[in-house]
Amino acid sequence: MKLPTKWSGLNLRIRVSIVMLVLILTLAVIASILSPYSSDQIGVGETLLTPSFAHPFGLDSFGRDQLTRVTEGALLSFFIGFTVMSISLIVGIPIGILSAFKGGLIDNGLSRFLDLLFAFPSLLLALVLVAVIGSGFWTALLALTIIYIPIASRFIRGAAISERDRDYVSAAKVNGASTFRICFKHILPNIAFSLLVLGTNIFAFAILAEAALSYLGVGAKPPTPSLGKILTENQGFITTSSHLVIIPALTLSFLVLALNLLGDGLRDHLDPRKTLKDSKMSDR
Amino acid sequence: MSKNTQQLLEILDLSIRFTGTGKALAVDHVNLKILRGQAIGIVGESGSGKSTLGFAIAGLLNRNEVEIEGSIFFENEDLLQIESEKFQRIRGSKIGYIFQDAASSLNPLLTIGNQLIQPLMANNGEKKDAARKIAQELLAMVEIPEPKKRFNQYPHELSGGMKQRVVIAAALARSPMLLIADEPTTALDVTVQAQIIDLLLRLKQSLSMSLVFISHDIGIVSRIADCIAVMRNGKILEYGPVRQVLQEPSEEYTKMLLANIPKLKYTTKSTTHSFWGDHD
Amino acid sequence: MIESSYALEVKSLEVKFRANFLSKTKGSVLAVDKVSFNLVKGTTTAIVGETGSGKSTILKSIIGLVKPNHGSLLLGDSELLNLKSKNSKRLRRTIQMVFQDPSGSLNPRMRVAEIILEPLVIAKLQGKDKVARKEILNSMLSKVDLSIDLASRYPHQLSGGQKQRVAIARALIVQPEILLLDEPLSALDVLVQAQIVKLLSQLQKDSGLSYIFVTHDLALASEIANNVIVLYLGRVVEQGSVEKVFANARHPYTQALLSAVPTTNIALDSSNSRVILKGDPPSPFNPPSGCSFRTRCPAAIDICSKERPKLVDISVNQKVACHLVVGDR
Repeated sequence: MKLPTKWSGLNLRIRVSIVMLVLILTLAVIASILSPYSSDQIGVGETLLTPSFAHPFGLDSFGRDQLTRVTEGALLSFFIGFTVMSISLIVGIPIGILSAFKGGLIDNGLSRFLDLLFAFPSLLLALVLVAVIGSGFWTALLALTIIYIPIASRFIRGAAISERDRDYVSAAKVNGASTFRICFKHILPNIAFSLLVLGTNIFAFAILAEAALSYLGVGAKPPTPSLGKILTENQGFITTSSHLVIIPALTLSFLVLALNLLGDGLRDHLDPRKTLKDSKMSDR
Repeated sequence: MSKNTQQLLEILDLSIRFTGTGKALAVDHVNLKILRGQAIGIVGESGSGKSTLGFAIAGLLNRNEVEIEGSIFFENEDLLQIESEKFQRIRGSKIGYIFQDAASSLNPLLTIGNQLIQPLMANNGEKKDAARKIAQELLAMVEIPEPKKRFNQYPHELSGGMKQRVVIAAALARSPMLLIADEPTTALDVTVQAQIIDLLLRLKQSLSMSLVFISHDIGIVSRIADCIAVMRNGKILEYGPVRQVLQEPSEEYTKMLLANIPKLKYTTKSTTHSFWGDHD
Repeated sequence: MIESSYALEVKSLEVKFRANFLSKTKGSVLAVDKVSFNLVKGTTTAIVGETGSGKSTILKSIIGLVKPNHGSLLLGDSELLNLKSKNSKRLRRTIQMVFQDPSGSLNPRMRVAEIILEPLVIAKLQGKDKVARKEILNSMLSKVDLSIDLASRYPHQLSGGQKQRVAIARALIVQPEILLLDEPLSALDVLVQAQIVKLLSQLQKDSGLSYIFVTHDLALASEIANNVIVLYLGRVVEQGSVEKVFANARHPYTQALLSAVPTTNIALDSSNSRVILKGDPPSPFNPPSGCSFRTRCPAAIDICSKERPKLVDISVNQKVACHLVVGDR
């Protein structure tokens, strides 16, 4: 099944979500560049100013421009989501596929090890790491990567298992294809779509998890404008200057929603097409 | 529309199109009559429309996805004109259906017994004990070995042949007058296939049931059917008694089908006699 | 040295599968139990049997997807089962396989051209010469009667028959001498089946290929094979030339199988002569003692439960394993 190269070949969900993501990314980048303030610059105006022309998102209790902070927060979220997703896929793909393909002791051993990591509640693991290394944005990043690698590996292993017993893999084996060739030329392309879906899920979860960690105070340290941190700082003003809470919350939701939509859209694109095409095949 | 009491089902000028597939007719102006106690075989390759026809009679087509024209008269009532609820009731009690893949017809999470009892209790209003008894009788009717044991087993504990028997038992639960079977033996081994065909033949006799047997395999169909309909591209090209269609086909397509089926060479009637003797 | 007229000699092949130590069922299954046969060059040997007979496992052992526990596979004068890796690759190429489900045996993400050429690429034959490869591709496509413009398509854009032709082209591109076919027709419509049979038969004539054809369709076997092996629960019950075995089947199981074949021949097919085997085949984990068929045999006698019948010649080109046929009584 070819990857669609036409925009019209993609379903509505995919299109909408891509637009959303591109939009927010572009806006964030532009705003960051154009903003005359820096995110930790205090006292640029009256504190707790409501949104105005000069400060479209208002100012917080330190007099920091919220627009600058929130857009930088959004970019940070993008960054962390992307990094965690990429690393867990890059590490998870070889582990998952090889484990599935080789089977036997290697598979058993790896699976047990991954199960071990998996058994820890992720937030707890993150807290433990923080306790050891100290809190901070990079700690959070590290913790999330450690948590998501086994999750990704497990999923990928499952997907690879369903392909490895197919006849086309046997045919390649019969022809003497190397393990590398079978794993990366045969199995990987056929699970690629599910991996994309997995990727969007990890992206979204990582963003939320980082926000949660920052919110709890074990992630980004002030003045880093992680969206979670902004929420912590502003939560006391929820009744008086609600824009300070609503805007970062909406930004976070928007990001996660877009990613989930993308994942759903990709999954829909993968399934119905495949079964429909196969069932309509006749032998003429 | 004849009021012939021997006639159970009459299909008049039936055409079916799936919405969204352009002008192609899945079933193209089909006419067919089935008498009580008669077995009809519908033969065709993939895409011939044979399964769609079977679905239509059994009421399994989603009315939102198809355009249907024509009539299906069952016991002199047009099934296509009545409300779908009524059709459902008729379908449940008078028309039975067997799918090709027995394994997927059975719920893997319920025991065989439960799967047979539930519809009996729900639809016939039988109490549990009575339903149990009926279910046991059904299992005996389809000649499942050790029926009491099987009652409490799960589908995955049964072989393919046994699963198919259970599916047949479920279809017979409410003593249907018409049983539609769509490739019921295709997934089974040859010897098991023979057992199931044999069973269906005997059931047809003992229950005076009409049978519509759909398959791509004209050989199997010829074993069980009194008359054969050959379908292609939605149309019935040829229809007649089995002997006639097999020995004196009138259509080119039928001749081609018959010519291209592998024949069992060298084997004669006496080949199988030395151990199994003469059967009469 | 006199060159053997056998393409392949299979001697006493044995394959045992042990139940996974984590699974419920214990013990092991002798999926293939001392199977021997010789494949004459340029001929077709059919292996027939039902589910659990071990027929697919035999093919997998020959092609190297499964490792047999005992036995020998002689290709010319080379023993396949104990080969050092240098030679084994080249020798293994002389045996190729066509699988049952054409949809499953072609990588959905690869185009037809890539699929067919892959064995060459893996074996590093024909170097990197694109022109040479294109030529070979085109010649393979025409050999299997496929139009050249199908080369850029994906499998899901092909019909079942076309897919199977691609699978055959792929198998033949490294110029094997032996082709193993595992129920290659069962997923296809009748008329398409006939076309593929015709193709295979033509290829055999033109290239002198030898086929081992696994099928459950005895009618098909009778039409295309020269020799046949009938399996029951991993053991050979009868084997020999197709004429002998099909005209004069001596083993009760073979007779039951032949009787069960649906046929359009009315004369042959009156319900009076139908043999219906009772029950289901016994579990392969727990086969009956002695002759594994005895639980469903109408004529089982005492010795059948005690001793496994030996496979013995009862005439030229026909062997049977049955006490009743072979016994001295």
